[in-house]
Amino acid sequence: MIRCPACGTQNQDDRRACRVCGTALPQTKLRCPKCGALNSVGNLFCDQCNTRLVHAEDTIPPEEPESGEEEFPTSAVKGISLPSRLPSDIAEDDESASDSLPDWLSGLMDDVQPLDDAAEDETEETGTPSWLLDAGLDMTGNIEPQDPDEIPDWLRAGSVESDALTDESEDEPKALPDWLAAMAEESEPSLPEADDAYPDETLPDWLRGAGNDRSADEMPATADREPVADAHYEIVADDEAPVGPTEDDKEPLIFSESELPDWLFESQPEASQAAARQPASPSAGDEPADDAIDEMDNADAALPDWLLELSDDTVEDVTEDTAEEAIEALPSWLTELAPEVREAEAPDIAPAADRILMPDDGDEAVRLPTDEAPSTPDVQVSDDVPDWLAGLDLARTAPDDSFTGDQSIPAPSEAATGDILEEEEATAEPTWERLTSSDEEPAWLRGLRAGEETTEDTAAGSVFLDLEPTEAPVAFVEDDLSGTQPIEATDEIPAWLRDLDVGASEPSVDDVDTHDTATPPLARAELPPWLEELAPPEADDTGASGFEIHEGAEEGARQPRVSGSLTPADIPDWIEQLRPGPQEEGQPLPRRQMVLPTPAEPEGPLQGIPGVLPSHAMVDMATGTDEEPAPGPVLAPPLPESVIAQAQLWQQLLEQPRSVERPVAQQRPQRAPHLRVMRWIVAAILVIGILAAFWLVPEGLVRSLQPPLSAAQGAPGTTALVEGLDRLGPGDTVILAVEYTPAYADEMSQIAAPLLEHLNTRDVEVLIVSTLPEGTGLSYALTPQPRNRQTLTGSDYLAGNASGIAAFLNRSEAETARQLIILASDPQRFGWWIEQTTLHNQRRADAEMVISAGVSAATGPLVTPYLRSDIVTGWIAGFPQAAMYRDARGSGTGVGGTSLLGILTLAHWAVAALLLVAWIANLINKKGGG
Amino acid sequence: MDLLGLIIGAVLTLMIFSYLLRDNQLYRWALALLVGTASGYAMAIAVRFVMNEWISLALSEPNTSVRMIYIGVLLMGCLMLLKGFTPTRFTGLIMTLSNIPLGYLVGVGAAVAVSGALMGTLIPQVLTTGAELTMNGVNGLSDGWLTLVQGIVIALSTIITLLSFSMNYKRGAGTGQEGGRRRGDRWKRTCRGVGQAIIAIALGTAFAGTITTALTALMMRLWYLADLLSRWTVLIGG
Repeated sequence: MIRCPACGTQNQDDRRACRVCGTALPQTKLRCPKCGALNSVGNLFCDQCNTRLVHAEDTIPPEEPESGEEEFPTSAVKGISLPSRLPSDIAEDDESASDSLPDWLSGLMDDVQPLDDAAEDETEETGTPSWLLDAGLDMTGNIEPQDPDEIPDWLRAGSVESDALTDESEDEPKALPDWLAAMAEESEPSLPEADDAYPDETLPDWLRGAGNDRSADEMPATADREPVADAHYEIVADDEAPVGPTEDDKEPLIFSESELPDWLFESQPEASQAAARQPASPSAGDEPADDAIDEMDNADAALPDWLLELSDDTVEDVTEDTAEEAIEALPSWLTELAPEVREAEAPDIAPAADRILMPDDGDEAVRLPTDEAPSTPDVQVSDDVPDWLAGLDLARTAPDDSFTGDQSIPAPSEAATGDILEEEEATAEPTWERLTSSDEEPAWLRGLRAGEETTEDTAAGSVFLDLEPTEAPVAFVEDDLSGTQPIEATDEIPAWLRDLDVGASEPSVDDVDTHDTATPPLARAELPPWLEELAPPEADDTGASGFEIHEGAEEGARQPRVSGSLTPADIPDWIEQLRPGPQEEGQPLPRRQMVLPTPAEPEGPLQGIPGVLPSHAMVDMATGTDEEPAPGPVLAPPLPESVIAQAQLWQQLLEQPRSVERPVAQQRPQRAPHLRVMRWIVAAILVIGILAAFWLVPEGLVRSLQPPLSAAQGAPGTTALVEGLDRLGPGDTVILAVEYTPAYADEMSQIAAPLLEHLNTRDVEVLIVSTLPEGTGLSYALTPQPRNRQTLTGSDYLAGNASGIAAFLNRSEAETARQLIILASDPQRFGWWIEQTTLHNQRRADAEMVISAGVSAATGPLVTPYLRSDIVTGWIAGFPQAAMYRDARGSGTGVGGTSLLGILTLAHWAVAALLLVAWIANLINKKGGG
Repeated sequence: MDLLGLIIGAVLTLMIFSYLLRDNQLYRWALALLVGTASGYAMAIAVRFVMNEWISLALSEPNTSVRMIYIGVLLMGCLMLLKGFTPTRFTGLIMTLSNIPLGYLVGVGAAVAVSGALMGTLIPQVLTTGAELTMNGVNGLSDGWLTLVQGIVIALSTIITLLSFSMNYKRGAGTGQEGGRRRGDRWKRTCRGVGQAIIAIALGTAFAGTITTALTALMMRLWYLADLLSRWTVLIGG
């Protein structure tokens, strides 16, 4: 039934509107149109007849995958699963992405020719990402730039020796750099995270766009990945797009072998490689090689404008103003990502390219990394560091804050996201400064070089290394290769950036080796408040993920503690309200605290708060004892008094100990007192009456009580019996069938006695048989015993009941018998004898056997049909008729004489009187009791 | 020896009489003695009968063919003993063999019983019931009309009593069936009531005979005790 929300009327389940007020009812049942059965609302088919309840057009068909759906290109590098996008999706998103991209980036994307079939096929065949194709490179090593001028020199170097990036390529990466190979060998699940954490926008351009000499396996998995639109990027128009050097104009760049990744290093001409193998000069103040400078200058000419701008800025003498201007020109996202340079403590690691120049909005390209010497003694830039890489401000701070490499950096997704960058864009005033040494290089860059040497420890896609948040904000200054003084951090640097504790010391190889291989350490970035709440707890001291409380952080931002304890989570208000407050003595607990007696939480954020489940009024709760009171407040449910009374009664009954002295099986039920009295009265009457008949009542009174009936009237069969036995003569055989049990022996003996006396007077032969085993034995207790008793051959026992009788009657002994006297107390056995004898007489028509009977008083009424029929000639039924038989024969009174008959008469009167009294009492009780 | 028997009998009699007070252990002992003695005596008679009448007779039969018949019959009797086993996986098939002699016994007994019941019970009693319908004085009655009335009463009572066992009528069927209930079911209910009354009278008569038998047994027992007591009194008193 559905209750109407408006009027409260009960309606049937299948009604759509209330029958009283017409309000629409929520449908809870569906009636089958075929069988009328009610089904649940969610059923599409009837449960009874399987008829469709909801039309097919009303149901939402399940989405089926399109057969020709294009597949996501899989990673050519085993173990790397970078976020990929379909070429079609990329083409569709171009327009939407272009609006938010920086001009320089949008310009690049505009230059990207739509992937036609050829391009797609080419992409599918080679696996070359589209962005790389735009640069005219593919993984097969064929450089086919669309616009040769667009390809930067550093990217144009060499041919890409790579296998085709096909889906079938499942081989291990053949020429992956160590740091990238480590990514492939690590667990795959981490890779997506790493890949997701490292979207294109977080990677430096040189890394994102580089890879011209990488093998197919070394390329990122998503070959067709396109830089994700970011607010801080600018897409440069086609005409503004930097024109990279052509293949002919390509000149090798010189990098130190240890600085550059292998794949990038190999792309350089041999001369460059040879020059790069020269040890870098990490010390501050080293002058970059002139050759390198020249080479860099030449390379600058082929760089895109946007990249040149950045690089030009680095060539100029860097002053504080210029540096600041340069920093200001950088995009905010780049300035935010730029870590603070600290003194390098581990100069073992060869300095990588220290210059990181991120294209700013509208800015021209930053100069490529060079190997110029750092402009300042503290911040040194190796000669091999590109200009754009050297542009990062790695202002030194206290040596203690150097990067140790032990601290883990949160996932890049947390540290460097577009949203974060957006928030900090306004506050960041980056300045660029050349990184002159490995100590000043950003940690993420340092990690790259560390990953080259250690292939196992570097996490997939790790760019950012463990960085210590620095107290001082990081200042991005644009430095030139001449080694100008570093620009100190300004106040405009965002707080999150200040938190980044980029150690001055470079991470040593050992430190890197100790890193957790699961995730690479990342620079700690300032997170928005909503993101800080979701930040994972601080890890342990092993350096998984470390947060330190940093100064200058925004107020309200979560301050994660150092490893060793969980980050306190924000407890919702509704749970906080349940926390027990200070309770005054004697004051009852507030109602909100009356909960089930569950123990309070011993620790954790819910410490002190008991179970928060609402208590139910009908739930019984432990009341506790004086020694151990209830753990919590006890509810007093408002139970009715009847329920309480019943419960108390049950409790009393259960508390009563069971009586041990009363065995249930033996003890008889207690009778009412009046019933016991009645039993005694009846017994007394019987005994007294019988005894009185013997000694108390005079003989005359006894005789007067006898009815004056003649034998003919009282016992109609007695006379015939006498006459029948009188017709017997000597030598006749009389069969006497004893068919009574010992219980009737006293009565039957009184009945059989006059018959036996009569038979003895006639001098006949008596054959006593019985169908009962004890019958023959009882025959020996008869008095008087037959004078001429015959026995059967064998036993007088006739087995088989009626069949035995039939078999006996067919024997020779029975063939000569003239009369059968049946002494029976059992009507059934009496009937067997009558039936079989009747059949026997029918077979012997000439010599029929006369049947007489002597039965007990109880059997007489039951066998009257037999006695009244012509089959039986004479019978005696009971002791009184036996007495009459004696009288009829004139043989005397027998045992006890008339006394017994008198006593029996009195007993009959007594029983009759008792029956009458009981009947009257029953009537009275019945009426009174209802 | 007779006196000892009398004494034992008297004691057992009193033990049985103790049931008048309440069920007690003496009564149970006496009752168990009576039942046990009777059962034991019956078992002895049966075993002696089987041994003497059947087995010895079968084995002493000079005629081989007759002997084989006797032996065959004895074997069939032995198969009857298999009826006492619990049907299991092993005895299930064997127990089916006991159905052969059982079927023979049931068949023979049914044949004997049916023929005897027909010739010795049904026909004679039907004839006796109709024999009272005469004007001739029977059963000690000299008046013919009285005899006839008696005969009619007996015949009608017999018929009505037999019909009362087969009379079925609906009770309280509700509205619409009241008319049918009045006509069709009335004589049925009357016949049923009369038959029940006749049966009640017959049962009452049977109960009276049972009381007579019981009182007779009681009287005889008390007489026995009294006789014994008098003898003891004479013996003691000299």
